[in-house]
Amino acid sequence: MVVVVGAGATGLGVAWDLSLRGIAVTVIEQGDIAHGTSGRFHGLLHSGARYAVRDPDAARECIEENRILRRIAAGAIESVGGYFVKTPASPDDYGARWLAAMDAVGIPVEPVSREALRTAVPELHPDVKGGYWVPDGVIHGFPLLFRLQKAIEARGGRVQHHTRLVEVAVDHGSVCRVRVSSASGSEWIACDALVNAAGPWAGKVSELFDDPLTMRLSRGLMIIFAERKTAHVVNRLAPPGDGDILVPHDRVTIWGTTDEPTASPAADPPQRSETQKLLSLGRDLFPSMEQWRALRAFSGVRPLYQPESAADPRHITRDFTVIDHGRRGGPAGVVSVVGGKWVTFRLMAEKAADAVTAYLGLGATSATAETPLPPLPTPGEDARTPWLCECEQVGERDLAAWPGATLAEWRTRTWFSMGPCQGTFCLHRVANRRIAATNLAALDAEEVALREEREQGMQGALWGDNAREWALSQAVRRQTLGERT
Amino acid sequence: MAHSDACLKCTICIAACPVYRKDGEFPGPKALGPEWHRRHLAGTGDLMDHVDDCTFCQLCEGACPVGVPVAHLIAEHKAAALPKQTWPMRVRDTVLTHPEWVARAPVLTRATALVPISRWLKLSTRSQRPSVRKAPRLSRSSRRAAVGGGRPRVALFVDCFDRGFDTEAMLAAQALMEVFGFEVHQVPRTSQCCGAAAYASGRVAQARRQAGAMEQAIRGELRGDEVALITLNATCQGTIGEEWSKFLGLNDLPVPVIPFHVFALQHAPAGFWSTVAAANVDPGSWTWTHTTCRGRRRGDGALFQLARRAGMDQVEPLDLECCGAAGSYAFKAEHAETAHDIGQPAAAQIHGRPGVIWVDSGTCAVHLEQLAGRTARHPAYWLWQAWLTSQSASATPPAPAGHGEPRDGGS
Amino acid sequence: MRVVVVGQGPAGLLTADWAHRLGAEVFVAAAADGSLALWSGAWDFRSFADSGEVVRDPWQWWDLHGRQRGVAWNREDWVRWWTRWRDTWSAAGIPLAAGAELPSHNRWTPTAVGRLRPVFVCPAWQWAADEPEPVIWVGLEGLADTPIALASARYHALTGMTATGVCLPRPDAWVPHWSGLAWSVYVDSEPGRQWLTEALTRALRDHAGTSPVLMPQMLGQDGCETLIGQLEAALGRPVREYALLPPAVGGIRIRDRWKRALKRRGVTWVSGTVGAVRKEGVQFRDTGELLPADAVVLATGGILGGGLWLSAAGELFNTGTGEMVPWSGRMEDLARAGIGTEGPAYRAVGRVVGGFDSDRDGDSGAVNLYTVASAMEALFGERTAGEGWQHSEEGP
Ligand SMILES: Cc1cc2nc3c(=O)[nH]c(=O)nc-3n(C[C@H](O)[C@H](O)[C@H](O)COP(=O)(O)OP(=O)(O)OC[C@H]3O[C@@H](n4cnc5c(N)ncnc54)[C@H](O)[C@@H]3O)c2cc1C
Ligand code: SF4
Ligand code: SF4
Repeated sequence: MVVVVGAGATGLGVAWDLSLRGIAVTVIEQGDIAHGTSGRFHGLLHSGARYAVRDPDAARECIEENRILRRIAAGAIESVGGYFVKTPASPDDYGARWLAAMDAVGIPVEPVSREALRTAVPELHPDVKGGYWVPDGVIHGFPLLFRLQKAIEARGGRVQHHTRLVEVAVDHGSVCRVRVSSASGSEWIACDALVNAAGPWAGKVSELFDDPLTMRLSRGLMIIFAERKTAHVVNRLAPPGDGDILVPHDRVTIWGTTDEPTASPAADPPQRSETQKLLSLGRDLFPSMEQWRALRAFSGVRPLYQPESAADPRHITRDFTVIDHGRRGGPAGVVSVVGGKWVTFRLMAEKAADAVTAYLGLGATSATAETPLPPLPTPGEDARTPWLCECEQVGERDLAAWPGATLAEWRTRTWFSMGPCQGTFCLHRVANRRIAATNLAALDAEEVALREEREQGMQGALWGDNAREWALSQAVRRQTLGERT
Repeated sequence: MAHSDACLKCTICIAACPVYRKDGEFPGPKALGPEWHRRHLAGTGDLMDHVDDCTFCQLCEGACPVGVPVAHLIAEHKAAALPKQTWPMRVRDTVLTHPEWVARAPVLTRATALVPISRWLKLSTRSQRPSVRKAPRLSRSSRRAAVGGGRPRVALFVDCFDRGFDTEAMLAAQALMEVFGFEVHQVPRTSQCCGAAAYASGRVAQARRQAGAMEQAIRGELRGDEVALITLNATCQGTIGEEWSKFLGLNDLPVPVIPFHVFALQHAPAGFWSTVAAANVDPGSWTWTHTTCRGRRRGDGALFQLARRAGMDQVEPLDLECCGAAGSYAFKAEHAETAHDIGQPAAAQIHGRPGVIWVDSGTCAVHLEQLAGRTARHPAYWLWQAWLTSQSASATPPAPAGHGEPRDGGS
Repeated sequence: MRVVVVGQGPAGLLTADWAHRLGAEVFVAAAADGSLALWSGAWDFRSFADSGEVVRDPWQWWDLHGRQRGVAWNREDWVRWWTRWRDTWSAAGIPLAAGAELPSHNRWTPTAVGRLRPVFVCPAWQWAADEPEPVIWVGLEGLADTPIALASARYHALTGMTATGVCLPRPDAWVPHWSGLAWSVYVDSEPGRQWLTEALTRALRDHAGTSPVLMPQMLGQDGCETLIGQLEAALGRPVREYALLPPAVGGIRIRDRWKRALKRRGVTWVSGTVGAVRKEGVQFRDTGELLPADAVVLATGGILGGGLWLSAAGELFNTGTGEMVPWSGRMEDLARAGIGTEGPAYRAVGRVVGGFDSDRDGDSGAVNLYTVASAMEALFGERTAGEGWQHSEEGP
């Protein structure tokens, strides 16, 4: 039995890969599924174009995985394509270098005239100078993770969330069991191998056994706009920098990002000064961006890793590393997988699973590249109940598809409270569907937590109409509903 | 569209929508407008039933605190639903969205008096067809101008309804403005539509074409020295004054576009008012004023003021935000009932009292007359009647004592 | 004198009403509808102390703390203006709950989720009580904003009183997107009225006693008072509403009745966004048109109303004048930010004045009353004291 720490893309990917190889797995996750970076990313299915010049290995992996994901995760991928746009500020020589690198890596690219660009993305600045089309896409991270979870469970694997790994026991140099702790106490789980896929916490997890990793964590900031402002991904044609990608994500648009070293694996909430700066970086691409209706801002922490590297996190590789701790003097049977991108999670998982399989002396090989992930069951239509969350059209049936879920779990699984009102008009309605399964005090606490989470995100992007939305939500909460916290 | 993403979900638009308050099946502006549009952009905006039940009164849009172009998003929604229309409806809407054809040959409307034709075309058999009110020649003497030569000039916009059915109102407005001391010329010379009817029916592309052609015509006919372009129909006023530049991609006209009654309040000389007021046209009778829904985009109350200034005895605004006529809306069979229900409170309010209705749109006048059983006409018409009365009165005995302000106006 | 009131929320309508009573020619200029449609009409005087404790006697609270907030009134002033406000509503056809002649203390009113909130006066249709008592808590199947399971459990937990949850099955006419407003339209119709009377009678058949029936706020529009009377007669119990989320039928009733009354009295509405205020009047942003005025009152509602605008750069603006408004820049101060009671060419009333956090403290009624009355005193001076006041305007 293999214990995997972390229910992000990588951890669930490893567990899925091992499950397909016929190996029993248990995934341990301290929060909910997608608690870490996998729930806090930009949503971009990279084509690799962004890394072609500086990081060709990462770029190559991106384009390969990009193709594989479209095959195995249809439904969670939007094949919208992306543009690299030349602005008056784009360095003159960069285009040529970039094209050569794209060619070397093998990423398809097509030139696009200024007029065609402006037709495809009408919000673009009139001064843009044309650009290139690349096969970027969009990943719907949450549904994809829930699909992985269900697929793992269907093969007998276990995913334990709200459970922390707190101790690793080693017997004769090999990992033999781990202690985990949750609200219901702590327990020991025997295991033949341990995979550390704890993302930004991978360094912390590695301190539990005798081979610490030095992570190069980097925090990135994103702003969500309330409406789909572009039908395609838009990148600035320039060396990767801050504020240069706009990603349409279903009904919203996400603008990002920044890259700043951090010591904390938990993503610190954005400060308004930071988001304002990020927003202002968009002017040369999207002149009206400051008038777009902001919804919220959030940040994520990249679990980067590069033992000997430059100070600027932009220069740290986006490639990933699989560390077989037994081979470098740590406990045998422990494998860490760090670095990488969401897009490359499957490949990372495959390589980590290869290391585990080799350690266990089994011959099975990865089947994830050929095995489509089963879709989530769609809740039945029911024309006779009202929407509870009107922004995102979530009804009773959607909630019923996740029996026993908490409010927070319903949020990421049904998408309720994620739209323009940020829960102002729907939280109490959904809470009413939960009262039968819990008690009032616990439910109050869940409501307060969800309110806080929503408000924190709104505060990071509190300007214009979003500030008015915030004021409306304060009035509804305190005056109409009589909430005091 | 700017601000299409601004929606706060506050529901104020719902509370402003007359259809929502009559028709339980109508999902309301928030659902049909911004919420649909947000999904539509993401490619998941399935068309909703009842989108065509929106009157395009734009009261929702006027109420929205963050400037979401709610009604215009609904028009986009209607446009997306157009391919679903059945043939007879398409034929009907083609006619209804070309009021300039009807204006050229108002007798056309007689054909629809034949019930089978109406049924096939899904025209309401309930709502009255407008009757044609051709103006008698206006006597020169009553049009004497106040000021001498070199008078300022205004252009009078001739809308389809007045061209086809109510030249009386049109000539009354012209004559009055001459009395106020202006030189008046009518535009456009040929019958054309500003695009309002098509836009309301979701034919956005057609509206753009019609508006473009009309704009060309008007620009060609303006002489460049007009003080204003005066409208007699609140809907056309809104379309030309606002929608042309905001939603139909046209440039603003080089002159301000102003409703007749607002212009009258600003420019009629004080003596004019004292003269009409002194004539005390119809003592004991009520004057109800109704600013049509589209007129409300500028606010209401000006009509009420006008009637009071003109010395009408007892003036009362109708408690209606929209009468339900909404251009050609009430003429469509599927809307007849809603249109009727929306306007119904007018009848209750009038409740047997004698009087007339002043209303700034011809189609609303037809609808209100039918609902309330009181003559409903454009304020220019009523004002002109008052002026004529005052003239014939002042020809014999002088104005009654107590109204002895100097007449610097039109006598 | 011509007064232009910018904004048509509660403070704007009150200003328009009173300026008109004091003999002014009144124009209401507004970019959009005001906030009445968001709100049940319950009138807060002061519900919570700064410490968060419930205030039972708001008269006393203002006596003790008013001056620290820059409110210069003594109890006599409060009573005088409060009485005028009550008469103004009554003249507009907005009935207050019985016993609201001159309340001495806050009462309790329930919220849709079963919490209780201190309130000074409610319109007659809304339930408020001195002490919590056992109630029948009615929800409607298919009205998502009547979470009876949650509400009745919470009411019980908070008060120790039983709240018997009753869910009325939906009528045939029901459509999934019905809000409280759509329901109110339905029960204003004859079939709707019949359905409700029968459904309620049936549902309460087995509940003995006379405890009040708490209905969601959907008991009709203009027919509301009649309907409540009929239901009470049929059930032999008091029937009152609890407030729902927007669209808030209570506030819509108030808005409609009040505006109707003002329009009949000759108050003129002009729409458009005011972008500048000058000595001569207000100027509209889009058209540049000037609406001449002898006095301008900004009742533009703060951040929510749109009278304040927070730019992406974090600067706060008075949208009526385009001027920047001082503000600490700290989020927690945003709710209290405002433009003060007067500027070079205007007076300000209501929430845009700032200095108060009415959502938190429950004092929006008092803030409106104080700021509007102060503006009247400043504009009309002596007249406000007595004979200039027109009391007897007929209700519609
Ligand atoms: C701002 C930003 C933008 C990005 N944009 C993109 C993009 O557009 N496209 C792209 O492909 N990639 C993007 N990435 C990168 C990508 O999101 C990450 O590389 C990827 O999500 C990492 O997944 P993971 O599973 O390794 O880590 P995580 O998702 O962080 O998963 C680790 C999990 O382990 C759990 N855990 C940690 N410690 C313990 C413990 N002791 N016990 C139990 N559980 C524990 C955590 O709670 C967490 O859920 C972005 C990253 C950032 C920060
Ligand atoms: S335009 Fe009029 S009828 Fe249509 S949704 Fe808006 S308010 Fe309702
Ligand atoms: S469209 Fe405007 S009025 Fe309607 S809910 Fe949205 S913000 Fe409110």
